[in-house]
Amino acid sequence: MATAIAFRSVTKRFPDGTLGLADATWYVAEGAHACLLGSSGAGKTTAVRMLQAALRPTGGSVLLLGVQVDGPGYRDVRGRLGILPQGPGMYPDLTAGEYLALAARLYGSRPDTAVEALDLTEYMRTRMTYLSPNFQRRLALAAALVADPDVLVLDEPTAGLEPDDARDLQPYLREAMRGRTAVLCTHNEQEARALCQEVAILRSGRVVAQGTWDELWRRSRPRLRVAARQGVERVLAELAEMGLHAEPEDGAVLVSTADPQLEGATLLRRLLEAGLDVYECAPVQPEVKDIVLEAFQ
Amino acid sequence: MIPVEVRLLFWKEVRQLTRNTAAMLSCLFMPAVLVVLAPVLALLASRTQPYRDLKVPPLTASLPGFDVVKHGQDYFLYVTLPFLFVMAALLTPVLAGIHTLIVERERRSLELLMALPVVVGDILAAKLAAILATAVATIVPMFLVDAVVIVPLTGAGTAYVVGALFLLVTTLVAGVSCSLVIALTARDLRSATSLGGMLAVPPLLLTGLCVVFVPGLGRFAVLGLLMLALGCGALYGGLRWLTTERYVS
Repeated sequence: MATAIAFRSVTKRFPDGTLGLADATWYVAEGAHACLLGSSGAGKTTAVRMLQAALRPTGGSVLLLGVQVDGPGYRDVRGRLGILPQGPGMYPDLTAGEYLALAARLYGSRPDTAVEALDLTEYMRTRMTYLSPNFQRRLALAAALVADPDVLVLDEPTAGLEPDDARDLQPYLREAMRGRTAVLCTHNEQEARALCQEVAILRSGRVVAQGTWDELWRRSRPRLRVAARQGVERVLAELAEMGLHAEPEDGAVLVSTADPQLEGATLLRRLLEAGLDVYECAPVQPEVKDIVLEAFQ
Repeated sequence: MIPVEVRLLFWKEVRQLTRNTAAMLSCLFMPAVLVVLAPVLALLASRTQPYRDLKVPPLTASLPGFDVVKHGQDYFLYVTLPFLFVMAALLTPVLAGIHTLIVERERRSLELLMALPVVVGDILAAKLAAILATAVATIVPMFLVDAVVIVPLTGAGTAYVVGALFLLVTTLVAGVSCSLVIALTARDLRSATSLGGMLAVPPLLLTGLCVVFVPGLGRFAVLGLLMLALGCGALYGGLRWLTTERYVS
């Protein structure tokens, strides 16, 4: 499958010495729904800025639909990229319709379909700043979709929205992503998991892990959840004596193991022999936050 | 010749500037005071008896720039007016620049622009063109008022008007370049305002030197060329060393 977006050993050092991206290598196949997951300052927006050709890499190269960003032919492929920017400010002196008309002219398209898809028809004469945050975000999404782009980049689409507004926006995002390559840049793990099949985890400008969620789960350390009537402290003490690393969680203990099925039985036997009344000992599926934490470690 | 992206963005900028009351007031008020009100009042004052009898001190009169200054009216034409024109033509684009370049970034609407299929160079080119167009549209008609008043009242002649217009236009170019440097350097509105004041110092210093050392109408030509060089230098330096990345990062 062809590659829609490619970051090849991309480094970006800003004039003040800050490292935006550090030897980041990351690929998104055409048609994939990929997520760039990382906390604030991890380098997500720097990556988006590079796709916009607003920032030049200090090292490496960025390709969009096979064309080097800022190289010959970039303007043509840029018209096939739609971007929903992170928390955009609104123009107080333009209406929603005027802004979308500008976007449509720049893309060489018409805004009607995007306006209808985002349920914005009745707000076309409203000044942009008078729109509610949810509608402002939908307006920015409509501008990204006017040309029915092949690649859609969503930079923190729900950041700064009230939970209800963020929830209301989700179906529009899902619909917008359908049938095209989509990249979601977010710090929100639940959102990433809900909308994307692939993930790249960024930390301090470095891609520390990438793959499908299943691949990351397979790669992450399996765990056993152990609970005993004697309580968490006693279980932790017994496990420490066995030389095993464990962490308390919700009245139970999570033990990292190489193979939960093989080691689980041995562990259970030893805990029972130690006099613990174990009432739970089962392998657990790592949560998104565990995968992220592991990648960060 | 001009990319369609720049043309579309240019009209957006012009539309926004003309709709922005604060921007229009500051773009109109400053030149109105410096190009119309102050010169007309100064000219009228220079025709009163005390100024008519003004004598230039011998030491000052020996400076090349004062060879043409015989009366109060000459002082107004060859010393006061160049300063007023330079200040007006510098500050108008800088103020318009702060409204269109810095405010855009401060309120984060720049994100909306950058999300469109344009590059930062298109955005800056459109903004600078809009700033220049707005400044020309406000200052040049005001200058025509001066020309209509000055020529018949002083008998300064067409060469004076052409020279002053050349200075005005070249200083506008320098002002637009200054607003680019401000946009690439200042991080917020406050630092932009301070920087705008600082950047006005070298052109005013050059004006002072030309007024004192360049004789007759030559001062307009020399000063105009210096402003053009300053503007081109600022534009080249801004794009070459500061780079457009600074506007978005």
